[in-house]
Amino acid sequence: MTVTPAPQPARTAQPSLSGLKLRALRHTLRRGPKWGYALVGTLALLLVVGEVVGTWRALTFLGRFGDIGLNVFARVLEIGLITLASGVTFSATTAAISTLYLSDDLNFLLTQPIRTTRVFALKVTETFLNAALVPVFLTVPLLLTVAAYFHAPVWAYPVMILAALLVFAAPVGLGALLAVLLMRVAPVGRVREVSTALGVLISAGLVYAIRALRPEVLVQKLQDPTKVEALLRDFAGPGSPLLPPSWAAQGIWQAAQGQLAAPLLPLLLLTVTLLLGATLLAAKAYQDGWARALDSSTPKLDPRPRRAGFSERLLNRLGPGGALAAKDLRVTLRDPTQWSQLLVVVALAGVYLVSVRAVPIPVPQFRGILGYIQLAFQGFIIAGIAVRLAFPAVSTEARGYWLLRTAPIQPRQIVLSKFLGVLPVTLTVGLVMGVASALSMSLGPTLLLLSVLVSLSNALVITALGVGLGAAAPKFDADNPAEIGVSPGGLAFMGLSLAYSVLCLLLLARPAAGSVLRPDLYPGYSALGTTEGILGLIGLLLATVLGTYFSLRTGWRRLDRLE
Amino acid sequence: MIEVSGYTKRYGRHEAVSNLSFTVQPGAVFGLLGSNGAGKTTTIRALVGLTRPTSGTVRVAGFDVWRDPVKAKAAFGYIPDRPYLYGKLTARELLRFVGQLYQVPDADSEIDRWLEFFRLTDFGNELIETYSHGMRQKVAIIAALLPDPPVLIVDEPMVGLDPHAARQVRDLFRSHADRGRTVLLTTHSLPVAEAVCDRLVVLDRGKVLGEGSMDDLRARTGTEAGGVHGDSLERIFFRLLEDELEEQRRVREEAGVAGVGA
Repeated sequence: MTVTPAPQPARTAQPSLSGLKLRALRHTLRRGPKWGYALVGTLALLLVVGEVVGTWRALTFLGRFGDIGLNVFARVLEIGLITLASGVTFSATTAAISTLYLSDDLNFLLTQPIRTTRVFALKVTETFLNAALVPVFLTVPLLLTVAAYFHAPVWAYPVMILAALLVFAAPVGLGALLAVLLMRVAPVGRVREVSTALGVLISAGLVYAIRALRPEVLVQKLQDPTKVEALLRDFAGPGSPLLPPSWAAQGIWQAAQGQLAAPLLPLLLLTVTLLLGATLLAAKAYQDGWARALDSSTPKLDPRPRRAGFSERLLNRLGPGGALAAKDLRVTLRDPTQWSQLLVVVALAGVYLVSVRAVPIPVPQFRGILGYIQLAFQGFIIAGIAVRLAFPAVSTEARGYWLLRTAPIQPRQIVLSKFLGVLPVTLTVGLVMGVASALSMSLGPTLLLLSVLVSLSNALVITALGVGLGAAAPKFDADNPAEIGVSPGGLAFMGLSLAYSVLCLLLLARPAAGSVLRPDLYPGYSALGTTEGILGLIGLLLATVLGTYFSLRTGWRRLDRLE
Repeated sequence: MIEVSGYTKRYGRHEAVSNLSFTVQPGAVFGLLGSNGAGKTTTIRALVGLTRPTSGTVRVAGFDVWRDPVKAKAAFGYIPDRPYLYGKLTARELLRFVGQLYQVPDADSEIDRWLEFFRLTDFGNELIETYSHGMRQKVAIIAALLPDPPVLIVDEPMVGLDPHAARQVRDLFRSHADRGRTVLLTTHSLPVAEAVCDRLVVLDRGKVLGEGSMDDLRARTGTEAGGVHGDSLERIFFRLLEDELEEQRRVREEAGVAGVGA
């Protein structure tokens, strides 16, 4: 028998992995909903225009104070970069675990004749895109406006963009490194839980950092003309010279003035080291970490049947929808990617409440008006919660959705069950925020009642909108719920939620204004008894009922048509 | 009973299934047979409400799956080829959930019985995410059989099963049909089809190549006396494919001649 040697592969250029990913992205975009892209494009354009105009005006205003005023802007830029970079650090660890270890394509890529480091370089890049694309998108227009304002030289523009990329790439590198280390050292089968706990700790740190900046003190001092100058002087130097975002802020600011700042070099070195370190370590630690991630904890086999508990039996009495709610509750509490969203919710609401309580507003009328307007911000907080809980509610069925789709349960029951499952959370947070902020700002009885009604309406409509839009365009292949909201549908949901919050305010603006500006004419609840008050309340009721119903109906109809 | 009438499914210009009709009577195991891309799974997906027919109707137990979905779905159990299940539930919890959806009476004791049947009792309280592919497939099979449905629809049933479980499942399908229920399964495993099915449809690229019992197909393909394994389903299958290719070649040639003549 003759043995023919195996053919040697011809030496050709290695295929581009990023090219492959870009092609897949192109296909996704081509098949995606065009209306969704148009809506997101419009919202993004509005955001950019608002950001550019706002930045320009802020610079013009602060420029009147000379260098001191402009330095205040530099300090605010630094604080903004620190905050955004902290946020990226928070999400980077979980994003890195999803992309570095749990991606569907890893098995395929690592069995191809491709260097492991190339594969993980791609995965670190994906982590960057998942965790930092939105902050980069938010930052770049602002930086370009700063450059234009100062008539920066041409070379400054790419330097500023590079600084923005570096400042967010560094926490991504750190998050990826942490993820790799966690996969090595965390107890087997508990890797995701440990990483989530770490994420929550970082989140708590972020909350603390924001509070430590004490923005209300700034407002208080600005109200006292004698302290303004001292305050501006305090703000002139960098506040946290050892933090990489401060280096980036200095680099950006000086580039805008036509100077290349030295702190950019350590930032560049740090970022490159972190990214390279994460890539190389991931490639090296992959085998062990991958095996650990796939391993489950040693099963404690117990043949004794465990029957349904009290809550399951109770919910089961409500029929298939109740059974689905019981299943969802159980899965949510067991899945760290889902329960961690609840902690983020608490953090969001906590920061908001603490901030509202701390804002000093001495004039009662101004306090009343602000107390009413802040209900729109509360709507945005509810939307922030709903985008994490309500919008992904149907998508978290993931690939197991076939079980529901082929079972004798109507899409209407599925959507309603999801809605009623999330509503207690949004309703509780909404009402607590509405009542607590109204009490802490010592608002009158009319505004207190309106706060309760608007909070109720926001919770109902925004939750319905989230569940409905999420059901209309579900994403069953997402690794974790956090990434489901980062989609055209998720962004459209946020935009519509904010619009609804503003609509609520407009509907009841006249009675609210009457009770605040003319308490002598409208004592107690009498502002609500006027024609405008009654019409406003009817309008709110109609908007709530119709908004909730049509949002949910859109959801179950589209879900029914889904193939 | 399953009735598929003039079922066509198009994806853009591509016709995945073309004008397919067949009926499966109670008491029968019916096989949809074909190579990859023949249209088997597309047909099954229409039957279980996952894909809407471009034209034609699909009825299960007398109910149109797309006009009366809840009643139709209450009448069938479905076993998919890839058993994606909720990883964060235990097998018992998942099966209890299924029992609630289908309103199964005395679900707990039925679940115990099925877990014992598939030798999963020890693992019943473990999360499904810790299961092997074969164990998940067994849980998916139990989920489909738990309501004891009048119709069982199965897509590639033996994928991932060990030989013992594969034989158990084959016997289950047979006994389910013998109790007057309907079983429809797709497979490209010819031995499985031959061992279990009473009647077959052979599909290729969305078109029916042959339909009937094994005897009908033997008679049609002239493979009754084919020597060793000459009358096997494998022989029948390849004969049908060869006939189809021959027919296509003949049509092309005729079209070519007509083109030259013109």
